[in-house]
Amino acid sequence: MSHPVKGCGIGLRFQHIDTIVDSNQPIPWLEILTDNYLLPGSVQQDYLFEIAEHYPLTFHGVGMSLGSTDPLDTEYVSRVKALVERVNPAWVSDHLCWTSAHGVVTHDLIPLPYTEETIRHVSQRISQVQDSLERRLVIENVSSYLQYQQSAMSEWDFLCAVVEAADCDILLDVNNIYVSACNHDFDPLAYLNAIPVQRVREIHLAGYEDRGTHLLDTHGYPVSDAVWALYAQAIQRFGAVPTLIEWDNNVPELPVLLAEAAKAAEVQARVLA
Amino acid sequence: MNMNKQVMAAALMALGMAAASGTLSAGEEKMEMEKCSGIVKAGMNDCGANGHACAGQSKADNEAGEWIKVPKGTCEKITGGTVVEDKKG
Amino acid sequence: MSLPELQHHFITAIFNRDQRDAAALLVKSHGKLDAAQRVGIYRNSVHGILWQYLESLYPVCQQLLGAEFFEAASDCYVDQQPPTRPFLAEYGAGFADFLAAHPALQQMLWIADVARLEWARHQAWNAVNQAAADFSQLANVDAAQQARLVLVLPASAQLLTSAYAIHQVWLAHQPEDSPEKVALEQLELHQTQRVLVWRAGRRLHQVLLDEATWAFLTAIQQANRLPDLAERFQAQLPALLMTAVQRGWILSFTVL
Repeated sequence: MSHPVKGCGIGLRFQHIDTIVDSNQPIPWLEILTDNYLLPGSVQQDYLFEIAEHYPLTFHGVGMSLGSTDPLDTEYVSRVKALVERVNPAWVSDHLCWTSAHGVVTHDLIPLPYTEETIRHVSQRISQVQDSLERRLVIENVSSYLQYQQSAMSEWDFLCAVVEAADCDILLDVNNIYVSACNHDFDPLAYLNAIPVQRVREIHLAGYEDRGTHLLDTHGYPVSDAVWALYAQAIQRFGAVPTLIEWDNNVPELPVLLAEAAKAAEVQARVLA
Repeated sequence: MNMNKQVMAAALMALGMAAASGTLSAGEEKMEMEKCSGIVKAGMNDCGANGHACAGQSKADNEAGEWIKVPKGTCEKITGGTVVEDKKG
Repeated sequence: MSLPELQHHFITAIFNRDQRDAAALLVKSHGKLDAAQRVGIYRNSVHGILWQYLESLYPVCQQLLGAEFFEAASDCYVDQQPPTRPFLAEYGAGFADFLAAHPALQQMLWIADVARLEWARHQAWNAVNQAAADFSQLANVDAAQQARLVLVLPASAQLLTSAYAIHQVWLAHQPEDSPEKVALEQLELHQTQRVLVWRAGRRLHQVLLDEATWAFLTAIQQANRLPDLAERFQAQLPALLMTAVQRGWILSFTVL
């Protein structure tokens, strides 16, 4: 049985796992980093199964390498599938990017060139994963620090074409849109306004770091004012989409994270009032 | 061989007794210096699993191969930790 | 350029600084950063992610070597042996051998043994969960079966031996006090230490073993049968077994 996911949740991090297991926290839902729970029979899975009894969950992965031209890693997909079948999360997401190629894995999210060739390739891979998992996949836009010479369209046109061709859903990372908009000098509202409303299942928020020459998506700070403003615009357009606070670097105490999630809920309430 | 049979009988009896008496209590365990989950979770790493999340906040672009330096850490505090050892073989 | 070619150039540049220019040809220069600098952000990001991962895996080595040396060693290791599997927890197995082969550490080979201990802890933590067997069932094992009885350690059990005081070095870097703990300045580095690491539920354990217990658990790990254990350990066997079961070092038994 799957608990419904709604409202504003937080990403589950190991620092907080004992607190969350030991006491009933007022958290609307939790998102796990799927990749941390893929060892069958491990203590990590043991924690997860306990948490799954008490909180609605979503799975967020980084290792599917959907844009890679290597063959799909079937062991990875089948481990994700086994966990999905055991825990039954509300949905499963990964990123519109590549992380591995030629047998080497970066464990990082690298953007794709925005071309017709890439659209065909990635949408076919997403379909393959959806068929294997027997589930729709939710695809997240990544933050990026470069643009390829051969890209022939905007990131949002690329994203829309991929989700249309693969018939999958979107995890819209509003912070990533803002970071990429600053790094590549485009209008973040143009991005938001191009996204098909009915496909947006989830929104991510996080804090970036200003490196002077570029913004870096470190997930190590509170959500910036500019991203809160863009989030309000997103809620205006997409409605009360479940929203998640991601915090991975300098992870604060649980109450700080929950306060950030509460702030997102306030924005939703204010905009939709 | 007969001796070994006696040893085996005693061993099986010991196994039965150990099983019946249960494992050591938490207090006894503590005495023996074991680590509980606080330390252990250092091995459970979230940040590598979230993309740019840990994109090395103070990361410099090191030139591989040009950096052979002397370690300057706690190894210096250990007597004989950094001095030349007699190499056997 | 096709997508496979683009990915080939890019991933080569990530793990080889000298190949950056070829990848930079694929990328636009704009704003405050040129194409090579933009490729460099990804090289740094990948190395940063793996560096932080290795730091969390090898925290004592990180302190022994110092932050600067460790970061440089991590970068070099990542370039030499990049990850090849999407499961990050599998990465870093070769780091101890890498340190042992490092030119700057040839007089400090004990640090590689500390790395082996830290990897063993990581392995124990990631091993499968197992419930202890019901040893009362031993009463049903007849004499013929006793001859084929094999005891089983937890899947998490890691037995290490080193010519150096790796357990003491490790303890000295932990924030908690313990009766066994000795300050680094007082530590006798050159002493053989035999260490067992294992996990019981959500707790990881690490203890120093005496020579007999070490030999005993090693024999069990090698699936020696009960008569062989009796032959080898004689009168010591009952006490060795009793302790091992009580401590959770022997988890179950099987008749081959």
